[in-house]
Amino acid sequence: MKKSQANIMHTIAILLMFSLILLVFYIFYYNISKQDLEKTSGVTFDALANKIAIRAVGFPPYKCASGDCIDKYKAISFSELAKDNDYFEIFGFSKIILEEIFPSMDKIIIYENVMEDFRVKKNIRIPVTIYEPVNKTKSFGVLIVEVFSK
Amino acid sequence: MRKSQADIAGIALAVILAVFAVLFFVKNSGNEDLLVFDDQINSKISSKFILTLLDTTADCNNMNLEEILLFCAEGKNLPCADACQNFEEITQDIFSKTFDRWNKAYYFTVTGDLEIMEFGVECSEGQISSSLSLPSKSGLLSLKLDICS
Repeated sequence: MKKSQANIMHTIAILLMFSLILLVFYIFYYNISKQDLEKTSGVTFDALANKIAIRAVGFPPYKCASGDCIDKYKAISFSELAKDNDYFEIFGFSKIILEEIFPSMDKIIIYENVMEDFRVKKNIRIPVTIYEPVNKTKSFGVLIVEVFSK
Repeated sequence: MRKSQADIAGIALAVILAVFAVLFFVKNSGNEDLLVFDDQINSKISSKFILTLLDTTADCNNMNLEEILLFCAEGKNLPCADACQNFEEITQDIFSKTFDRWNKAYYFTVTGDLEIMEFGVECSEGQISSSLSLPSKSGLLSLKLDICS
């Protein structure tokens, strides 16, 4: 083999080696980007779920006038109102349930808009005081916020 | 091996190491954000749980659990029940309908001059804690809720 041929072979070998290294890098980068994208969308979904839950806890139409609690009768009225009105921009694809834990067990579905073909669902349970204005009593309750996504 | 070949091999190795270092950094920085976010939610739930519990009206003279606990700490009895027993029963009932039903481990303690009240089991690994102090005539009462990781 002549010297010039050997040089060409040498250059080709180096180019092949670099191409191989680039390919390996690309595969690694692609896989990690995919994992990060899934993770980022998970974080975004968590943030959205958290935002909806915070909105649901302090939502003025059923919040107590006296402070940090949910008015039972206002919540019942709102649950009827929410069936006819569109609150999608506020609560999106979610289901909000007010569950009374003590003294008695009771459940009010405040808002319901379940995504038909959801793949991810996040449940957030927030303890809340439920005020009953007729007897002026406060019950221990939990606001269950279920948020759906594809 | 010629000098030029050795140089190329050296550069390739350096590039590989640099790329791995960057990938390792990017991967780990993502994990940190996720962990902080979950801790923040649990911490809020933990503190809100204690406040909601104390605000709950018991079935005795329309008193709330905070007032009943203060009666208990001062050694007084309620008109309709033993204050400490009443507080303990209602608290246990609420925990059994919440954390126990959700299969979430917790450890709630009330400490002060009175004997220590304990609910749940101490967390074996990590936990998110929240505590509250209540001044009473017999001293300071400390309420602490750990939500186990």
